[in-house]
Amino acid sequence: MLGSGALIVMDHTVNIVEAALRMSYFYMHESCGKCTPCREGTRWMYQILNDIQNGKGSSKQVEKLEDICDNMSFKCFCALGDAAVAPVASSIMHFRSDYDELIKNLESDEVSA
Amino acid sequence: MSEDINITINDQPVSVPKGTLVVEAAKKIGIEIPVFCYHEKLGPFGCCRMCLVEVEKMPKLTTACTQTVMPDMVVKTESPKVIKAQQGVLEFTLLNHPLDCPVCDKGGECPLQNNTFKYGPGDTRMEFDRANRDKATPLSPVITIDRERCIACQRCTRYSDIIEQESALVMLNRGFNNEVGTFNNEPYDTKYSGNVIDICPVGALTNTQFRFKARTWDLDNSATLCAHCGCNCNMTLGSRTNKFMRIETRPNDLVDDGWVCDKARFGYDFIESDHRIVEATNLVDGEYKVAKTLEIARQTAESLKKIVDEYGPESIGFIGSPFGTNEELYLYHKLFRFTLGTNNLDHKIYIDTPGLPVDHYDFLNVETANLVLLIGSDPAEELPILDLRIKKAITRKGVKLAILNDQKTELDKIADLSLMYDVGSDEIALAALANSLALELDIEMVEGETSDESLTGIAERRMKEMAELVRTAMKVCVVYNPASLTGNSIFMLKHLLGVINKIPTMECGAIPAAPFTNSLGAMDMGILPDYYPGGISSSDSGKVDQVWGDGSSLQSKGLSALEMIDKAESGELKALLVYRNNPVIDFPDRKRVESALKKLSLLVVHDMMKTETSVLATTVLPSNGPGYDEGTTTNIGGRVQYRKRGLNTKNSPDWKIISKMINSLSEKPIEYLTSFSVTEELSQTVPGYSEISKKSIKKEGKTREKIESANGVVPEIGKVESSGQGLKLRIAEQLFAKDKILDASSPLAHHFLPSTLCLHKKDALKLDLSNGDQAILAANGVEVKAIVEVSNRCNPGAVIVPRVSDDQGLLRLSRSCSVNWVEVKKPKVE
Ligand code: SF4
Ligand code: SF4
Ligand code: FES
Repeated sequence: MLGSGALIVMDHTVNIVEAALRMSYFYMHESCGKCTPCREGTRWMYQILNDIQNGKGSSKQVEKLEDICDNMSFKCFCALGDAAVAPVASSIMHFRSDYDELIKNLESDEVSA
Repeated sequence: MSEDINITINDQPVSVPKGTLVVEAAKKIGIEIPVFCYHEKLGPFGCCRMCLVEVEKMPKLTTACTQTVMPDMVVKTESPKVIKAQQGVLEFTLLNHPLDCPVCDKGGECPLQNNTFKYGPGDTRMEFDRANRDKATPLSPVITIDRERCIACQRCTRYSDIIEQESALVMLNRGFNNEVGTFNNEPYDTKYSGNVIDICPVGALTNTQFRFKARTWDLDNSATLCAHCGCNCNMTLGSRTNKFMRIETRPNDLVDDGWVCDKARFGYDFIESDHRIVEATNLVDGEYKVAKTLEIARQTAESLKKIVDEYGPESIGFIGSPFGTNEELYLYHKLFRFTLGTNNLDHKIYIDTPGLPVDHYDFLNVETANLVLLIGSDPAEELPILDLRIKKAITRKGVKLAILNDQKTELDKIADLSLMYDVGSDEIALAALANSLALELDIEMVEGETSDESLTGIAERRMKEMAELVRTAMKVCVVYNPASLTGNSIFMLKHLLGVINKIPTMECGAIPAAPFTNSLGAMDMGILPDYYPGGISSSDSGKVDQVWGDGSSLQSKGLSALEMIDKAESGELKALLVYRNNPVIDFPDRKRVESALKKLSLLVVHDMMKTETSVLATTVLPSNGPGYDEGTTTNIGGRVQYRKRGLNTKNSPDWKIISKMINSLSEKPIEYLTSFSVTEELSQTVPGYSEISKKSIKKEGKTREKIESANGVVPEIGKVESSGQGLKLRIAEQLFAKDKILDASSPLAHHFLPSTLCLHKKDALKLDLSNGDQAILAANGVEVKAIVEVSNRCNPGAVIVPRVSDDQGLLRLSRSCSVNWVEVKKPKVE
């Protein structure tokens, strides 16, 4: 499992959004493109995560991410689509605060600007 | 005997055969499940995910286009889960789809638009710029792809793989970067490429000719037929303000299986050509004078009558056309046989007779037979949609294919057995197969030696293999091209059919696959010197009188088309009416034909295009032709269908012109109101057509009753042609030839081939010619230039020359419809 990258051990210093972004890049790159939800969904998720990671995201986008995950999971042609959903969905479920932090920065920036 | 399975969809019960897909079961009870990638002719694929439905006891939603029905299945297509999924999939599909609807060719008839309206989320949540891709890349001169609009459903690539079996169009790259294209960026220019335009569920694949020309809802659509070959595929002709716009498929499973070939889709430019004949003219003192069409028709009839009165009915003749409609040909039969009293009617240069000693099979039988036996036919070049049907039968329906031909064809690749006889030895080859079967059946055989390899180029052992394939097949569909047979071989072919039919427990039928639009109709309507309509022999005066009334039978034996030319040359024939035929180009020996026609005191040409024959005419009458005309045609499978008008014209329809000629000579004129009035009359007089009416043929056409062939005696093998000089000439049909239909300005011009001659390598060696060399074909004092192709397309001793254009003038090299010899030589060095 370790060699395949399916199991990754990270400590608490890691930014989970960045990790999710990297993984979604991986899945976007791996998608064969045959089925619509996977081909389009992996790319859209990557685009959104990229925004959030770069401090341009909003909490609305996090909710959207969750919905995209729902629209993809168990609806793709093969399991790659489901696998692509897992890191994003679980990172939001378990580390929502990491997302909020990146978004808060932005939202407070906006206020002060 | 298929088991039916009961399922419930949205609380509605439905019972369908085992193996049915859920999406089809739903269709049956009027429930629509939206799809993109699924197409009934392509089968399940499951890539677009549009068709997700909920099935009780299944943990996930499932795709209705891949899921077959299971006993007691409970399906929901409108549950909240399904609706959420549909909106999600549509959101993904539209995510990077451009907002082109206002200018897109598909607008108004677009499955993506329609599904979005019905099942879409109503709004977009896409916050990024949509991806940009190439907006207009030509895939070929006739198809342009807009890659931004593509939703990667793969209908087009799967069509290329499964239906046309070329795998020419493929999905390139992976993931978000995938795109439809071809290997090495080669043009996508198969014979059937245009169908992808129709099946593309968005405006990605567009018709280059039609692009941006009109909005689909502004089109006037006419449900008509293709008039290019004997398949008679159904198609829709779209026009706007009486201008031709485009051709689309109009699926009819009994005929075209939902496809048309590119000659249909892109080969209708001729209807707006400058070379059309639109006025009636008379030659007066060396100059053509225009006059009213019906007035010239009256004068023509009177002139013909005058000649009959003076020289007898044998002095006039009619050369009709396998391209006219049944109604037009029927009226010409009446004019010449009953009004003018001659049997001199014909429409072709090869020998053929109406009727079959076996069943007349239609296109569906190609799929349900166990063996298709293809004789002298090259469907890909002659009858493209029959070619697709055969490919389907062989690769997807488990049907076997046996081929007996004098040339290699594309279908050889998928044939179980393919035997090539020497050019000109068709009669003996057919006799050999018949005898091989007759021997086992212990029935009368054709006399003489037939099995020796030196006679046909086919070893006895191989012919036995073919006989074995036939003998054990149980159901055989014989597809033969009468126009490719030499001399009297057609009688041997019909003898062979009779022998096959005698095999115990054998079901046998045949498709007389002449390449021309209405060959069967022309024979059925009696445009033959020796047969009245419905295959009644002219010599059977009892039967003729019974159908047509006492005194209808004519004493004279009629002249064939080639005999009419002979008699014109000798001066015995004084007048000839040529209807939509071009003997100068399409009959052997142009020089002789021209000089014969010039000797006539009256040459009437009734045609839609100016031709090498019409310029010799003393009277020219305009024919409306496909696009403007209407009437029925009978396809090679015996199906009678209605060819509707696509564009309006002020010119008189052909049937009116012909009936004017009849009426101006008869005491009891019959006024027809429409072409259907003629259909109605012929359904009462032509045996086999009694069920044909405006109503019965309306939707899918109707198969006319089979015409029995006279009970034949076992034919004798004709005298073997004394050997000639050089090589035997075989002219091969070419679908895209530069002629009156596809001219230099045709969008299909990229398919035109240079004049080519195909040699066996033994002959090439003897003649010291190799691939790509310039060479000359010489016969009759005529020379035709061609490029050498050493392809073993035929056995040694012959040369195959594709008919690539009218200008090439290939028929000048031949003298008759049996074996012709040509010399192949190197050009003189200057
Ligand atoms: S071009 Fe049309 S048919 Fe082909 S994959 Fe794209 S959307 Fe489908
Ligand atoms: S196969 Fe023949 S009838 Fe059918 S579309 Fe092509 S040319 Fe027309
Ligand atoms: S229509 Fe079923 S997955 Fe495309």
